[in-house]
Amino acid sequence: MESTNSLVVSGLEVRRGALPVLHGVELRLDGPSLAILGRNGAGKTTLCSALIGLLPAGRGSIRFNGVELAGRKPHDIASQGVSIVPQGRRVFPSLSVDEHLRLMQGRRPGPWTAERVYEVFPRLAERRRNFGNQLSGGEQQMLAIGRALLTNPRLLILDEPSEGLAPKIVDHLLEVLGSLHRDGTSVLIVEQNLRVGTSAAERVAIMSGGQIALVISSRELWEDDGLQQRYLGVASH
Amino acid sequence: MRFYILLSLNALTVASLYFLVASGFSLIFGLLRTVNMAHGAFYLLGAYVGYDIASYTGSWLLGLAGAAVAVAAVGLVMHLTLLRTLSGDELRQALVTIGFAIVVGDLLLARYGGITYQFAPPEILYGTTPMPVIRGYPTIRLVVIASALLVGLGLWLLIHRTRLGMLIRAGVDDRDILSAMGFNVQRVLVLVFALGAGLAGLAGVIGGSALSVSPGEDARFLLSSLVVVIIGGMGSLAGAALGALLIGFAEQFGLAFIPNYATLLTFLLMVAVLAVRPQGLLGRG
Repeated sequence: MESTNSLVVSGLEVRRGALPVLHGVELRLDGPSLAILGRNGAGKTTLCSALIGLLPAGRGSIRFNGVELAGRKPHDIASQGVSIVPQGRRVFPSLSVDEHLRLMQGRRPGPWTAERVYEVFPRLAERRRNFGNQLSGGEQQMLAIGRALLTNPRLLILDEPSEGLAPKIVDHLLEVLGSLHRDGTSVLIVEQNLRVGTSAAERVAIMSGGQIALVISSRELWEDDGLQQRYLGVASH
Repeated sequence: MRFYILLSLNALTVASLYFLVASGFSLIFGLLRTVNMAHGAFYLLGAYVGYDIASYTGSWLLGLAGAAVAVAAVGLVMHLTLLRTLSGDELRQALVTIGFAIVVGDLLLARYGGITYQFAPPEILYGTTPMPVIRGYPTIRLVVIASALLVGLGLWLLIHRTRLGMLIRAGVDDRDILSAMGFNVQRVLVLVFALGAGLAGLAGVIGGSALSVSPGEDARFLLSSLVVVIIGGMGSLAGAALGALLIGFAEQFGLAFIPNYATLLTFLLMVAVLAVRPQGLLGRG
């Protein structure tokens, strides 16, 4: 099975309290993956929160495989096959690794089981009895990804998964993410890190000032220092 | 020696009562992030309802069960009708619960008047249980301690050994992410709210049997629950137990040695905890 999901966001406006953050986001994800890159404060995390229903969409629409998600409750959106690995991991401190996985397992049919998560992340199996707040950053990230995968999502959103992690662990995570499309899961990865974003997806949407400024292939962005300077304020090499 | 043992047992009795009321309060606080200011009213309502059922049927145990169920039902309705519509607005929720508490308190005053009621627990609970050194201790007080232990154990098993318990812990940790993982958190909230209310009703009958039932008890137990949660940390069962013990002992030993300042001691304890660990002794920051 290949991932044939489609996420279409159009004219999305979202506020945080009284402050408008997203000003008409237009975004399309067809197929296996898309990365969203942008500076701090570009609205990336707000976009993620809106996609999973934690922030209400003021205007615009979010259609996933033809179903309108805007206006739905988070648990309702999750049942449509959208899951998230949130910024800062946000694993549950008072649940053990094993409890995280048991809690999530078997709620939506699909290929992911706790056993498979332990196979993919053997480190978690060693830490099975540890609680969420007793894990290293990398372990927490594995757990957050395992937790999301156990919902058997068709769209997995990752908000800055590489934040604070050692490059070796990031490479392992990228490898896992790269294999998800075989189960029919699409990946939307939000990053500040240019290398991670461009290696996780073929195409990159660049976010700036609460809008999508540009959609470009990862290779092109990687090779264009001028674009990187302009939108990300970083030099890659 | 005898004096200290008696004093400690008295402190344990009071602490048990506080724990019975505050455990549900703490759970609700931790999960809903709402101070349920009607929790004391739930306690008093349970005491009166239990009294009525017990007098009518002649069975104290039926009164106990009936009070728990009836108050749980009231809590359920209150959550569905009043709190749910204000979900996400904790301040308004707290204000609504104050209003609810005032209305319930006045309705109870209208129905039962200002007099003090005394439960008639079964004969077997009335007497004295023989004990070494202190010779004997009122059985009903031992029942209070035993019920607190039972309720504590039951809640511990529920929270740490069941699926609902996992949901409750995860919900206390991070409600938003739990809902993003596909769980209808509202359903867990309503269950926990009813459970906490039911526990308060149960405590009303037990407390009313060990002490007495009269207007004003609602405010007393609401206040003690607040202090217990501030000291122990919200949403933590062990914290509620620890907080209840500390207050029970501070109160009873204070009454014995510095009677004029006993009340002060409780609040000094609270101030000290707030100064050193504002999230409560066993609360997470």
